[in-house]
Amino acid sequence: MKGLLYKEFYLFRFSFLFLLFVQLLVSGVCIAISVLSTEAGDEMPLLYTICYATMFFVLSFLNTEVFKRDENAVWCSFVASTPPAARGQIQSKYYLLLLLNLIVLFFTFLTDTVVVAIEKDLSVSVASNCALLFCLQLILSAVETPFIVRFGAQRGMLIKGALLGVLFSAFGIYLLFGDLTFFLGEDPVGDIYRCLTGGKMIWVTALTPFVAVFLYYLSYQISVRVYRKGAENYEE
Amino acid sequence: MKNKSVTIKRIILFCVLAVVPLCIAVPILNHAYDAPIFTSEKGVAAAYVLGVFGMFAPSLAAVLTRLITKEGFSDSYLGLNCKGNLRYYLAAVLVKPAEALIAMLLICAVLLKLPLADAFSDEQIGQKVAAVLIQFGTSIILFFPAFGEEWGWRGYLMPKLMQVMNKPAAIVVGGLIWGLWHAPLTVSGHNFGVDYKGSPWLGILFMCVLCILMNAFLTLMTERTKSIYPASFCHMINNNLSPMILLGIFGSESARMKCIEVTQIRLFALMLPPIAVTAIISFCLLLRKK
Repeated sequence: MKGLLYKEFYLFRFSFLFLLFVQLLVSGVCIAISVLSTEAGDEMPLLYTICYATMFFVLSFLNTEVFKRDENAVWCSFVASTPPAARGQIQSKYYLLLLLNLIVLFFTFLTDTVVVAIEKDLSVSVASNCALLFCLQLILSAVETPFIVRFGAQRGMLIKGALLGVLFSAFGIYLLFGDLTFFLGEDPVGDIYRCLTGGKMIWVTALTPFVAVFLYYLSYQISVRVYRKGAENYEE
Repeated sequence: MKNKSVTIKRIILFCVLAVVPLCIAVPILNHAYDAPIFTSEKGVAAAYVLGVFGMFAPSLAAVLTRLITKEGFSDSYLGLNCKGNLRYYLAAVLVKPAEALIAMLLICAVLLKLPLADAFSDEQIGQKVAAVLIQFGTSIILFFPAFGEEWGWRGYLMPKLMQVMNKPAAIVVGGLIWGLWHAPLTVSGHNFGVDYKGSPWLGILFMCVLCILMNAFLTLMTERTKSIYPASFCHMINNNLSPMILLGIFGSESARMKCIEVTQIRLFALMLPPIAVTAIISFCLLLRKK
């Protein structure tokens, strides 16, 4: 397994450096905002959350890269003949994805702490929002990965795009016809927070981490099952 | 013999490197805020930042010791090793909430002297359970500060101590070092405040006892799984789901009011019995071969 993980990191090294670069950029922007802002406003946590969400958004696009690099029928046949077999190959990919998510979460958490130190105000901390973003990213990876494994990176990306399209359309329809009173007050961040941690929504928020872990594991099991079928489509 | 002396030198270097950052940062912050940092109202954010970055000091010390003494990074306990060790992972996330629940009941019965019906409020119970679940989930996801401590204490110090002494002595010495490492924080009002009889010595002593007891359980998990993550999850849950936090969520208005009147150190004293039971069981399991 160690060898496969080394291989993954080797193949992913340029994307990883790009990810680190973007992360440093986002962290720099957040720190610059906190240094330059003269007074802490209610909108600051929203601003920081958007910055950190950007990071997770970039990461979601790199998910495909993890699989794209060794989409090769010869490699798949070879790895299937090694002791870790297909299960080990898929496991290493899932470990790498988890590790990348954790690295992004770690940097956002550190940036969040530095921002608190600069602003000298604990209320600007959005660490729990970062945890929620991490879970959502994990759920997204869990949904798209079996498709990528089964149909290849290109078609997998299309399916992911379609899924995101459906999600955004549903959100758009809600924005058009749904109840927006919670978002139109004077303190939108506070309103969203209260919405997520109040009423029935609190259970959705509370169960998100557990659902994310379960879906990620389920996704891994499905990917292992469809790997061989998917490998038949790869070019030699 | 030579190996033993090298290991002792590494332990000493590690301890010095782990202790120095807090010994420098805490007095500076106390001076800057004109009060013990954990009791200063203006210093809430600074105390949080100190808590987060301070917890990384042992990890940093472990990395520096490994680099300075050219030890390398073998046996760094960074693998997950879930296979066959799932029960330790489960124990890591479930034991501390169970301990906190028992301690909360003890606090209500012994210290607040409230019957259970009066101590807890069943108003919006679903919301409260969900709030605890959020706290629980967030503790596991944002485990980095605890990882910062655990990678140093359980991932570096404890294996070294167990090379130079037997396991029971290593648990006590390791816990003592860990407890004393908290001393600058304890003096600044961390956990117990500063307004209690015997301050700060009683607090430091109490922290040492607590750390020795917790060290047994955390070392057991780290040794059995050869991974630092179960101990990190457990540590973070311990920090974020204390009996006082649970009481703040589930407790009735009268229980919370009574809680404010009681000194923190007395509340913490009632956390000890369940932790001690876990420590004894862990200690016995540690002495038994796997």
